[in-house]
Amino acid sequence: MTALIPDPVLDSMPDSVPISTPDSEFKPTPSARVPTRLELFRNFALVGLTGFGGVLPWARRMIVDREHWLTDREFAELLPLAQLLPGPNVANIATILGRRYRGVTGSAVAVFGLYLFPTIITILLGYAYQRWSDSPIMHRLLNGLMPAAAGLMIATALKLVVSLPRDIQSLVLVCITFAAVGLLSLPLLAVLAVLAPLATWLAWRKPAVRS
Amino acid sequence: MWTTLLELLLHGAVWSMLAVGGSNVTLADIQRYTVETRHWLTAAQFVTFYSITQAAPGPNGMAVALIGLQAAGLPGALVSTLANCVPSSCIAFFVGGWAEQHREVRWVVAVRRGLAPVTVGLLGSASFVLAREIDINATRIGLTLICAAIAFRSKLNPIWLVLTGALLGLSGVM
Repeated sequence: MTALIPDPVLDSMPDSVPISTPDSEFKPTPSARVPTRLELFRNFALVGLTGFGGVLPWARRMIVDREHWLTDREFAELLPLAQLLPGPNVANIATILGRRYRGVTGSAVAVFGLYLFPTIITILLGYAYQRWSDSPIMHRLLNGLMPAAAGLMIATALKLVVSLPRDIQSLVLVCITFAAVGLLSLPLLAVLAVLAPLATWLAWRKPAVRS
Repeated sequence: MWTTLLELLLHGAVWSMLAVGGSNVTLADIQRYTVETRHWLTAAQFVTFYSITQAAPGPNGMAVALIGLQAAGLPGALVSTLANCVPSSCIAFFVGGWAEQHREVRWVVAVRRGLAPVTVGLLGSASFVLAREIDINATRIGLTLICAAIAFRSKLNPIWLVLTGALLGLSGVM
């Protein structure tokens, strides 16, 4: 695995040393951890390996709870960008964080790490499927695994809800979005066309108020 | 063979760049092309591939790896996977870089802070829709709620919840 790391000098630097990234405007706060390329690769590989039934809960757990790269609030603020960009949102998070901490090679190792194990496991499952076709064991496994995975998704959403500013505005926006898309199944693009400018305008009006 | 690989590469790259808001939005087009136009797989296989990759670890959209495997063997699976993640990651790299450089600009701040609650609402909707499709009986609803409560309140590694769910599934009670 160490062969994947092209730059041992940068990687051996202590975490507290600010790294000159392509974006000079971004300055890590003193407490912010700047991961090495090996750490980016290893952590995103672990997210890929463990992300049964969806990788987002595992990515939040790794980035916020275990590695402390971001707070829940910062993670919630990174999600819109990751979601609006094409592609799986965790792959976009890996790209953006990899770039932020270690530039282009950081992005490359983070995305490579994220996809490494899922690709191997998916291909092995594909061969198993070609061999044993539609076995009842697979259905039974999914019947128990998917409800648990859905529970993890709900818990992740709840953790991000409580990380938002505790004001009426945030709460109302969360509820309206949930009602429109989750309950009423309105088309996503139409909902965003209305809510995105409204939410941006509300945040623009009171930029100083942050709890 | 080479033609198939090239088709997997080109179409995969287009799907990757069109998948705004997640890979599920391109699912219908992937189905149309791979099942109805190319006949690489049957409609039933398409559904099975989708549910296998839903449960398997990894980002959304890994179903294209299985479609590639079916269409052109191991090279097909690898080409499809690369086509699925490289183009969208390149876009994320450049747009993400731009957003990072302008992270203190007032309207970028407003967009980021304003959209955070909307995105969290979307995530809540996605979890709700997922649970509604999966939890078709009381046992499954119970399992989802218990897992959600434990994952929300405790620091327990969620792998134990997923493993417990898998074992309960295998035992046949779900």
